[in-house]
Amino acid sequence: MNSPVEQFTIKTIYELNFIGIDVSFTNASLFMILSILGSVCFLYLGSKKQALVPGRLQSLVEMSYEFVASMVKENAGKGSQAYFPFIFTLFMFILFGNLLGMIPYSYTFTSQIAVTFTLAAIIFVGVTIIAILKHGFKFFTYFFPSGVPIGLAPLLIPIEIISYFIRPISLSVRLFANMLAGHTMMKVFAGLVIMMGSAGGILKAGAVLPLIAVIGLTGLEFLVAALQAYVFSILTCMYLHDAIHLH
Amino acid sequence: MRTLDKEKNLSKRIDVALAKKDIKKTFKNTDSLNIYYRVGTELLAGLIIGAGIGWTLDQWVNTTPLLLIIFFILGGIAGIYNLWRVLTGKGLKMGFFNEKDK
Repeated sequence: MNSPVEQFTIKTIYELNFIGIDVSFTNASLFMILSILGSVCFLYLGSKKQALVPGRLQSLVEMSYEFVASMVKENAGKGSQAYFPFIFTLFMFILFGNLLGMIPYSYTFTSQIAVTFTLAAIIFVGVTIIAILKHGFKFFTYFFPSGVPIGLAPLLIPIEIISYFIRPISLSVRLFANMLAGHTMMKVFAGLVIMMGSAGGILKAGAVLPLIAVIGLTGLEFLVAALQAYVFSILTCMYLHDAIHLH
Repeated sequence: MRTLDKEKNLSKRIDVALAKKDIKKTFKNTDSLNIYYRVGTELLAGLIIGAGIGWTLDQWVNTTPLLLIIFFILGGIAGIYNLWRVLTGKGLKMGFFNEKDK
């Protein structure tokens, strides 16, 4: 019986060394490339025809575009349209990564904290740079807004700084933990089906229960895959909103 | 004269509609599924960051484990503070909010 966490092992496909750093091409990198190719193909094929009355694929593409566009507009506010391409790319990349992971024998690269933290760190650094470029020194009033009693400063400033640094951690941990937990749970229940089925006797009949659970979990995982991509990008929009408007 | 009245009426209606939209927006932030997925990691991340900052400062100024303890507590407070901000519909926006600012 395979262990339920075996599915997350990184396997090297092609070994590469760049000035002493291991930059091997792994199954995670393969699926990242597949995710990019998948989303590019999806958008290209969907927007190729440009029919006035969209077909199935075209309306899917249009829906995803409009969905992200309205999300950016509503959550990041005025002056955020320039960042739409980034948010859209991010959303499609994570969505395709999560959905590709639902295919049996494939690899879910969003279940690696290294991947999600890199994404979150890029967003965190980028948003901070945008805020400093836009507001200059005023950015630091972020951590101690006016209207707060000065006596609270020694307590409030560290708390605000910590809660600013919480952002990349909670952003990356949320996506990674959800994918990791979901896929592990599916594997555990699937393993239970086989274990009970091969045990014989009354247990054999009981194997139906985990089977039903697996079917339910698979549906739930599809929901989580889409929802986590959405949550990741909507929070990016909110951070952008703070950077552009400073409360 | 009639058209002027109509225009006034229209602008009033637009104002009302926009106000309604704002109300809808604040409600949207408190959508339960969204909240569930957002707040779960907030507390944990607060503790991780607090402990991380405390530990690093300790290594730097050689006061192990004093700053670790202080920042661990501050991290916990920051996590709860963020949680409160989400639950009161202020999103994850930074800063101190007066009720009248809403």
